[in-house]
Amino acid sequence: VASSPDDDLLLAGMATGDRYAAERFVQRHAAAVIGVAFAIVGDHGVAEDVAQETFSRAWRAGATYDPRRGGVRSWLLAISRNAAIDHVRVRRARPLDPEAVTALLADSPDGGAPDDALMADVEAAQVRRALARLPHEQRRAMLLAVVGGRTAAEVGDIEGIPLGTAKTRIRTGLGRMRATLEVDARRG
Amino acid sequence: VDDRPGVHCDQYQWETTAFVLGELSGQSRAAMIDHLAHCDRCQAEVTALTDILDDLTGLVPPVAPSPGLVDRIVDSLSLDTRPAPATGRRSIAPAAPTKPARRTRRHRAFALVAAAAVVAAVAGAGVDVLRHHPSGTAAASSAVPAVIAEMRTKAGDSVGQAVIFDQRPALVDVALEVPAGTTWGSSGPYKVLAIRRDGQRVTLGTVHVTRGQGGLQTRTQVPAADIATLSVEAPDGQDLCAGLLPPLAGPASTPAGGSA
Repeated sequence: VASSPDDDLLLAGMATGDRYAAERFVQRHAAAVIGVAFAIVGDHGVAEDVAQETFSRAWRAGATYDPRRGGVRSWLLAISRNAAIDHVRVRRARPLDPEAVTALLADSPDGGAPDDALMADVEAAQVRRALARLPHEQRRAMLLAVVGGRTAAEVGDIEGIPLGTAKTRIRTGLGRMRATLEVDARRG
Repeated sequence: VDDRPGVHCDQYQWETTAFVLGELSGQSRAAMIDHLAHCDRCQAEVTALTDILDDLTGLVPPVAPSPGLVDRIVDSLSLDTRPAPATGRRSIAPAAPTKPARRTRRHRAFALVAAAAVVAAVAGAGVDVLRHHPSGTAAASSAVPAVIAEMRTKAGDSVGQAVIFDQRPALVDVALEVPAGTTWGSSGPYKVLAIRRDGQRVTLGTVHVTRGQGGLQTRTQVPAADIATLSVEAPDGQDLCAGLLPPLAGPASTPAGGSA
């Protein structure tokens, strides 16, 4: 997930209490953060609450963020995903409908979401292609777990399959994604 | 590969995926952290899976914030307690590369509880997370020492584990697994405190316990060696459980790349 060149500087500024840096940082990433949360909680208002929690966690952790460990945006979206999952599991909130979850990323490989403009275009296209090559049932199970934040047991219930089968579909889907993307990377 | 007696990576086939997805908690999470500290192969698997997770999460369509939300978020930050002074904080310049090449980037900092161990290992530093001991165990020798302690109630019942990696700032992971029927087994938030060896109490964060399980991963400016006890408190200040941590064997400044 691509970050802008000065993301880490804005994060550092925010961590030291710089309001201008905080505004720039939140403006830049709010929509993506809310999007990730919405895919899990299924409610715009709740997703915004999760976004607030996400930026609060990022602010508290910003002083110790190490830019060598990956992009700020990936880090922030991971916080958003975790915060949204916490919200659903702790408050027993109703998550997004499974069909809506799988539809979120069901675009054709070249039908990128607006956020793709903020990602490396080539990499986003590679990920979409790899996703499109997965068998339908593996893609669904994997997206429900990764994007929808569902546990393997929940995926099993939704799909009407045993827990072991749900785990296999999720794991195999991720494995195939990994293999496809590694082949693409080697081809340059 | 984890070559300790009785440990096989095959045991962790699903657990690596579950760990990355955030499904593990309690004892299973602590066991996974312990295994990762000893196993290059599973560390690499976790890192690769995390990359895929990041890639997919990055494709989720954005949702526009409501008018005024950005200001409300920024205002809420100002109302919070300011983070600890940035003693020894990283330099903010020059900017780091923003997009490491695919398959070479490291996993995110806080999404994974094993971040400290994995990243240190990838960077060439040795990592030595000791087997836990009823009263906690100090590292014998390592580049990134750590201690694992049992979290116990006053009655002596084990209700989870705590891991502290001796880095600066220290990485703290508390994983609770409360037996069914315990009054605090499905509620919260409970306050997690580090009690320093000089008696000073420092709040690290809060933890919710849902269906008997809960966890907190955070960093603290309190040096790992200064933490004598990790404690979990109810809102009324009642101690729910605590883990006693022995002194660490070596300083946090042990050079990276030392003996693994």
